[in-house]
Amino acid sequence: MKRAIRSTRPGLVWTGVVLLSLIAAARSAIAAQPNEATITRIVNEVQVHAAQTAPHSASINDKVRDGSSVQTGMDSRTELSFADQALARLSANTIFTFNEGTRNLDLASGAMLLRVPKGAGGAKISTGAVTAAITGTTVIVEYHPHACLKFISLEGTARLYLKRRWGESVLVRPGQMLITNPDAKSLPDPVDIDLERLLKTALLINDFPPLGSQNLIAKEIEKQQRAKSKRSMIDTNLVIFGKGTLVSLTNPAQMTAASHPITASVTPGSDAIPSSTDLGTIETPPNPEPTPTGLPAANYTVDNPR
Amino acid sequence: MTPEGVEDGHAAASPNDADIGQQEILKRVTQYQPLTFSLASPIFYTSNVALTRSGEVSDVVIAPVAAVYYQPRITKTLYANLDAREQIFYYGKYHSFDFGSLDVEAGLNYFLPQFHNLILRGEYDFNRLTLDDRLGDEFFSNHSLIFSAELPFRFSRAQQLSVGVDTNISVGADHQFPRRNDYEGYLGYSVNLTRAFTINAVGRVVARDYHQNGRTDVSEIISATATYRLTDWLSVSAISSFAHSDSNQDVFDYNVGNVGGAVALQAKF
Repeated sequence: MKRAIRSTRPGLVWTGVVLLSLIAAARSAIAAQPNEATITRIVNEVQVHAAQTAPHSASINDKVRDGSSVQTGMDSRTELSFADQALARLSANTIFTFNEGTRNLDLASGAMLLRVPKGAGGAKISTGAVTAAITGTTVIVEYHPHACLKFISLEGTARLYLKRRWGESVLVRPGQMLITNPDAKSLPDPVDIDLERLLKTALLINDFPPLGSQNLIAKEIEKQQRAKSKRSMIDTNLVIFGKGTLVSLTNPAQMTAASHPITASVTPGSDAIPSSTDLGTIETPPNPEPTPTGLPAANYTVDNPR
Repeated sequence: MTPEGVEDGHAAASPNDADIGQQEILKRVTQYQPLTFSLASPIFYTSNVALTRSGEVSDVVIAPVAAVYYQPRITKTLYANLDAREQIFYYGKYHSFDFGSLDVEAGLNYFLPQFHNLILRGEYDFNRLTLDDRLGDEFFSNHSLIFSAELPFRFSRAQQLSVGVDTNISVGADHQFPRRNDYEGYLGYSVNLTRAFTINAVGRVVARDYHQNGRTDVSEIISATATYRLTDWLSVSAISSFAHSDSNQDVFDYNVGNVGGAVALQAKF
């Protein structure tokens, strides 16, 4: 009996070694995959800056390695898909770098939509002094160094924190937006925004195939609709038209018009989407009414101090 | 406009503004909930049951407490406060020490945002001590006026330091021997380590001036509590405290340490 056991032991040991080696190999293979992204969509001019090579124009299905940066030009957009089902859509004039796949994303400047599905291990977005930690979340981030950071959660909860201020962290829940100065020493509270309107008017959503988290976002929109019908959440006439921090005062007619979906072909200057030159202008309704904050509506422009 | 797209300190508009869509700001209408019900059940080890200078005996205490608070808002910064709470202390070995404590309070809380969020409180308190849970078996009752002021200092979203003073003036009691006035100063620190986990530490100095026999005690108390909020209405805590008390009558000097835990339920309406 003892002999039988002895004779089977080397076999068991070798089987174990082989199994462990296979598991280790599989793990290293899986770990390597998220460290690169594939360019899955390009609108106009997109460049890839890889380490030790000259910048080159990106093409569909190009692989972007760890540490490389992707830059979009004027009126350009692109989409990067990661092996863990995460995806990043970059707006125009954006510079974006990633390390360790979606673990460390660095938005140097510009705007992006990022979707990190549940189970992808989470992601960290660095923008100057502010870092956002997300897991199972779809967010939009806009960052302009020394000017503003805008963070919007479409679904899932993100945590924003200041790197050098222990304890200074804020949760941004679905349908909330936080705007801050990236050099700020404290973070403001987020505000609620109309998700349905944002979804209908964002080219990073409408100019691309449906997001994998579309259903989750739809649920959040339903929650907002329910809150609106219960009057626990109400519309205001304060709107930021796209990028930046200038809040415009709109009239109800414009709000109705704006609720119609737009496409990439919408020309600047339409009634629904004011052109860039309209940003910051004041559009007052014929009979100004007080804003919900009690501030007089007439001729009131809000430059968000955050 | 800078190369980063900054104009007058804010992000400049660009022809690609529609990329991230329109952000219409919504206003959340939060309804103030003035009514709070709470139930908690602390259980702790105490090193000195009788608060004696010598011959200390230890025990385990279970002290369930039920409370109801009604705090209607009168103005933006002024709230009324009506509350009632009953706590019963059951000792594991020394049942003769079991007692119940009923407090009924009515008063006002006033917030002064212009003075660093100073909080002022003034209230009337009726306290009634009974033998264990026999609520009709009163052995002491006291009517007092409580005045307090607290100044919170918030370092960040997660940390706060509070300094405050409390006075509790007895205006009438049915047994004069234990009747006293309390004067207290405290320093508290709280930190939210995660969204659900909070640690509080408080240091207090209390002068207790008894109405009879010229007795005055001064107690130094430090306490630390770690609370984990499981849901909006359920939390668990680890509690600890140590008190050193000096009296001008040596027989009343004592030290006591407590350590234990608690489960608490709270509902707001």
